[in-house]
Amino acid sequence: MSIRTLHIGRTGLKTAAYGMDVTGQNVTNASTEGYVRRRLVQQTRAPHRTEHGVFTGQGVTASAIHRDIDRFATERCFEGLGEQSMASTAHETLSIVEANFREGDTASIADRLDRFFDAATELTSEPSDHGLRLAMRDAGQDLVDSVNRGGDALIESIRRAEDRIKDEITGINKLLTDMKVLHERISDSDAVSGPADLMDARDGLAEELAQKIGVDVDYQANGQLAMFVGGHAIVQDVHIRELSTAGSSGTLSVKMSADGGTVTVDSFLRGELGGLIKARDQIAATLADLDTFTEEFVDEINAQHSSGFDAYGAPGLDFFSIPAGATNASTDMSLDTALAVDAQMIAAAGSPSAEVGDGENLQAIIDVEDTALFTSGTQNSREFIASLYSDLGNAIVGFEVDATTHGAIINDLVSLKDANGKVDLDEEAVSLIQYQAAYQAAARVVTAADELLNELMATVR
Amino acid sequence: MEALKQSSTSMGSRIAKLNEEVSTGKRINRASDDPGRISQLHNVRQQLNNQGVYMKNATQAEQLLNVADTALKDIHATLSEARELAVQFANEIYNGDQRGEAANVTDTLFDRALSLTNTQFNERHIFAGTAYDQAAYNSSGVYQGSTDSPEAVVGDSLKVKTGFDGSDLLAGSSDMFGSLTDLKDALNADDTAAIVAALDDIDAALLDVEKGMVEVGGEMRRSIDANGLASNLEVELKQAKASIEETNVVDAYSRLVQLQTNFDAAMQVTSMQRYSGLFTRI
Repeated sequence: MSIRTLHIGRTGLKTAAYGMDVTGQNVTNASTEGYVRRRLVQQTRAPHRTEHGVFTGQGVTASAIHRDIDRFATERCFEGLGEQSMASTAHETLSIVEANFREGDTASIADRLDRFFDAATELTSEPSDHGLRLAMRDAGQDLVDSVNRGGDALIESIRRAEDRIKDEITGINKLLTDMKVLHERISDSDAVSGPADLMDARDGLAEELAQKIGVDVDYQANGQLAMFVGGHAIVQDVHIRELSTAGSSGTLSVKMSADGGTVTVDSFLRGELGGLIKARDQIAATLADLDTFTEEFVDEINAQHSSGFDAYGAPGLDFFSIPAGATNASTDMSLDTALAVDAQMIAAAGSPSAEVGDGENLQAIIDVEDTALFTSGTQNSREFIASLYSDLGNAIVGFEVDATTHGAIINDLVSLKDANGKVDLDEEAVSLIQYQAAYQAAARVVTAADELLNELMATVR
Repeated sequence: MEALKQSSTSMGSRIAKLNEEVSTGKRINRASDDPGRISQLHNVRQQLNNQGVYMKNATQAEQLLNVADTALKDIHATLSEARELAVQFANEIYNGDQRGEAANVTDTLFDRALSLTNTQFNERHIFAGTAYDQAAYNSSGVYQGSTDSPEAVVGDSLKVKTGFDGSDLLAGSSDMFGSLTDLKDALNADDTAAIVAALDDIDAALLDVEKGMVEVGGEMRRSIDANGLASNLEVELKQAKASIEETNVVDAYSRLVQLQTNFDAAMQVTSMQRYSGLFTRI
């Protein structure tokens, strides 16, 4: 009896010591980022059958160290992180683009458009005045500069967004490789002591991936983490699928390796990468609108200008120019080269024989301001530019609201996750007392068994 | 703690936005500040810019029309002097020598009228129509200007004349210089019947000048009205623009102070969060 009792006491001492180790680990990692609280799982050792057929206990054993993770909250947290990260990345990227289209800026396209027509209106007061002609030409050049600047800024923003997409993909593939290595190590590890720390590290990578690409996450029964993008598994056990890019500037798309080829995942991506793609698409849409504005506006002004006559009595030339085959009208728009050096070529007059004070054609040019040229004849140039600004603004506000909403959801999920997984020092203090008491009690069992054995030995002697 | 960190960050960005609002005095600094009102704001701005140009054009037109009005009054006075001469020397009591002297005076009146009809404003011949870069009448009193009148835009679909077709304004149904030449010839010829005939022509010319004065006055009225309208609209549009774009500084400032107080409190809570649980008691 006493020898077994000593053994039972020993298992109690050992398990209590394990418990204090786990508690100590928890306490010292209370503020470690990504650390999930551990709990010692104790189990009764298989009983011993005596010669009388009675089963007696064999003590206790530490069967596992359990990671107290709330899988549901953690999975939702990862998914929410992708949504929040996508919205905030798109919001930040577009906010930088919007700085080029500030309201009330005297160099804005809207303001320069107004001033161009104002200069034409002012020229009606004295069509032969060279100073007023120069002012109208300069207002035209200012408008060109503003449109060029806007187009250049948008193209540059697209380029930067796509450069960032490529850089992010390099980083994401590195994360995927690290994830693969961790999953391999987890599957090779001892279930009692090893995987918890590896799983913490793996979950840290999963969080980074969720933030980068937005993933659907599923904790597997074997402790591995499966991650999906648009239903396509990007991480499954020790298998990963890398990302790559295809296409040219402005239409760059993200591909995921698949059996025998790749699949396009642009529309499934969230996270920073998804946000960059959304932002790039919005910028491209704004650029397309600006190009449409430029083409329609230039065509209409040129048509009106060409129907008039300049100060020399010659038919009006084009006022603005866009080279044939230009990719982006907004960046390639310019003032007509002849008119740029001679403002007398502004076709203010309505007829070739008109006298110097004839400004009949100016009125036709001024009328373009209120002509509904856009959106199937429902918007004039000013309204179209305003809607271009509004669309960009609406997108930014939409992403900001999404980021705030998902941020709030994540806060709730983090609280839920932390309620289980975060180290609670009060609970750990109680555990410490428990394990300390268990240790002391086990030690007492050993002492008692020892005393009994000593007494027995003395009797024998 | 995480939630506190996040709310501190979002509070920081709201404070930055309010700071911008207070420092610029504008609640709309970019389209995303209020996308729904951008179109309205652009419309108001464009209309406001337009009023500035309309006022400039109207003011210039008023100055030109004032000069035109003064010139017409002087032409009227010159023709009236010629009429007085005609009335005086149609009387039989004057002899040929005296009428010859009067013919010389008529010659001077011709030159004065010619000079007045070629009146300029900012180097523009007011009565030469759109051909205002050249004199309206040549030295013989023959009209050489244009029959079109220049116009300036002074409002939405509103224009005023900034020059006149002299052949219409000054001699719609008469011949001012022809009547003065006829009077001079009649005086030189000592022909009282011809002087009386010239008198009738001068009366007709006076009537045309008076009609011209009415037309210039009408344009002047339109120009003043347009200027006043643009000026009133400018005030109203500035108010409309302010109501859309400008921030209520007092309100923004109080929101800023409130947010800063909240931010300070959040920081205080963050810094005060320290463990004071069971471990300190065992």
